[in-house]
Amino acid sequence: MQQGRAQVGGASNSGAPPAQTSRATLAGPAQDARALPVSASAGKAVPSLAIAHDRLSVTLTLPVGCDVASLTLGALIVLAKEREVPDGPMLRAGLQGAIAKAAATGELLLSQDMHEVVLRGRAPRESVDASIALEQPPVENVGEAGDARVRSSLRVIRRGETIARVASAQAGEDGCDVRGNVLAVKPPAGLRVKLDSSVRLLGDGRVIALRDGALRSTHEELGIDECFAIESGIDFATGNVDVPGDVRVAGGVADCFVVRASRNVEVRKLVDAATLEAGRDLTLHAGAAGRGQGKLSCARDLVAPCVSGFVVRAGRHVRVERELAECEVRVGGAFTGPLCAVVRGELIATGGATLGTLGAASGATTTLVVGWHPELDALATRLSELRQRAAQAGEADAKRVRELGMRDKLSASEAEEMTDLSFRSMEQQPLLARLLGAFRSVQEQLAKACVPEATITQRIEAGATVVLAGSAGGVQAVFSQAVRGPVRIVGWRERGDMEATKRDHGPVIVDESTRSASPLSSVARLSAWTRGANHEALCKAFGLELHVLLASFAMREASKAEGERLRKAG
Amino acid sequence: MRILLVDDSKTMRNIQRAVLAQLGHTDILEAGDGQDALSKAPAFRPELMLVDWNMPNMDGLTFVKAWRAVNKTTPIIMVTTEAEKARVIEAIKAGVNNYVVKPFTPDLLSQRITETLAKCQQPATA
Repeated sequence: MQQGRAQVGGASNSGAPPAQTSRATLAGPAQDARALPVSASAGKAVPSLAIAHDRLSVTLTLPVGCDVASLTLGALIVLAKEREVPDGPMLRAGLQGAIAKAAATGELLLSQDMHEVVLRGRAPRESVDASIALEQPPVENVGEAGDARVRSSLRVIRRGETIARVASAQAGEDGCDVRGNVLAVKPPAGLRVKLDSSVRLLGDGRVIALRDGALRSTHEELGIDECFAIESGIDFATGNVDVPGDVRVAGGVADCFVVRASRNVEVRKLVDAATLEAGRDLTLHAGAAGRGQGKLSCARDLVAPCVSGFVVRAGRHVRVERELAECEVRVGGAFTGPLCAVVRGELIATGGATLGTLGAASGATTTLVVGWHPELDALATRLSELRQRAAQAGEADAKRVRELGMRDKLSASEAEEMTDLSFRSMEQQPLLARLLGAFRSVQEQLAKACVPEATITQRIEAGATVVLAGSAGGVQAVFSQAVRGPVRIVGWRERGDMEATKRDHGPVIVDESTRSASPLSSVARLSAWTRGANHEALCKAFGLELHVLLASFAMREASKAEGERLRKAG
Repeated sequence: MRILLVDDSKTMRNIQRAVLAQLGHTDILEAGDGQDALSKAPAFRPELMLVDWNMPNMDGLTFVKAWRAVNKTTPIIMVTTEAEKARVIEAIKAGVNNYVVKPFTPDLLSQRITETLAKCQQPATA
């Protein structure tokens, strides 16, 4: 027996799986022992069964010298049972196949080891967890000759764009080993990344953006932010920025770069000679030094500690804390900077201005214009022109209709012309009415927006210019001497009593510490200012009187305010 | 309602279109002459046609006769400078439902369209 075992062991080393090997011995049940090869009992090579480590296959090994004629199915089944492999049709078929294969060699005693897989289990199919893969942004063709500043590194997601694809979880399938035990697989895990409300998962696995913005992707969350937070400054590393939503720049903005956002723009550090455009507010924490090349524009408010060398356009209010130097500024609302020095350049503040000092002791040209709205002025002028053209065309048409009407018979083309003229005359009146309505609306907007008042809290230097825009042009005051603040410069008020106010007072300068008023002409040379439109004349072209129009607006506003007061009072 | 305007003058078509728009009709197709109208009308299936008489390629009267050969019901208004009685009768014989003489005012055209539509819809509703 010892010798037989050693031989089997040798056979095992020559190729059969070494683990869990069982050899047929005569120590088994008497019936089984009788079925074993006769040579085995004589110490010759005996068959053995090995189970693979993964328990998915059983291999029968017939070593060199194994007596082929004595191999029986029963003995091999017993061998399998010793290895806890249950009897079954598959096992029997496998064993019978192996016996047949051994017999087919035609040898009485095998001349070389034979290994035969006689039973296989079923491998489990593992589950696949749900996963998400981000879509790569499309490569933009900027061309070799393109401006390097234009190559933005910022990825802007547009509404409806596919930003990722989700592969759904797939359940696995349990397996079965050669002993009939279940090889269980884990259930698949769902998507670990949470999709927020700014994105939507479609049925085909695409994740689309529900709004424009910046992609936010972490291990936990995927979404679209409305704010683009840029941790550096804007320079060649970032390229220009042109995004929907807000932009927050932690650094500054380098020369010649452009930052454009449909909403707010906020910059922490200095803005050089760059262009910044905001659809809403523009906030510069460290100010802007544009050296005459910069541009700032926003539809609403601009806030900055200091601005120099910029062209500035703000739809609403502007607040500058310390200095506004060498700028060309147009403010749709009010300019506020009670401690701000306004030096050189031009500041047009439609809704009035409050500032610290105006002008420089050196006499640098500094102009403050209050109460003027250039765009509405231009619109009123254009409407008046259109009205004039429409009226002239109407008169020419009427003349032609009279001419044609006096003829006894019209040619075909004249008949068509007559029809056309009658149709045009029908359209004339509604057109004139629309023009008049638009003109009245512009005048109302001007009355609301324009405040021809300036408050200077510290000092007006000699040579500084203040323009108080008015309906008939305006007045320009060039200060012949320095004036100490706080003072308030007030134009005539146009609320129905314009003529009286003009005649009696004219523009005045009020000392805010003593509340005493004196004519502006006492400290400044006054002259007519003609850049603004003459609204009195424009109104006359529409058959209106400006002071009556303004009075009617004022009455309507008062009536509205009274109505509101009564409504609140219940 | 689908309306076909047949006139070689763009200005006249614009006027007619504007009058029809005031009456609430916006489903309008334009043709520059009778031949153009004959090619467009079968697919468009107009429910009213405004047709000029004097046009290049195919005049309005020829178009009306050709159209009436295949369609007896579509209301047709002839809009033309041809004001002589004989011409009006000739047009009516050819199958025109109503007649507007140029020059016309927008009010007159509007009135004729309303009249014609009312007349032509009467038998159907009755």
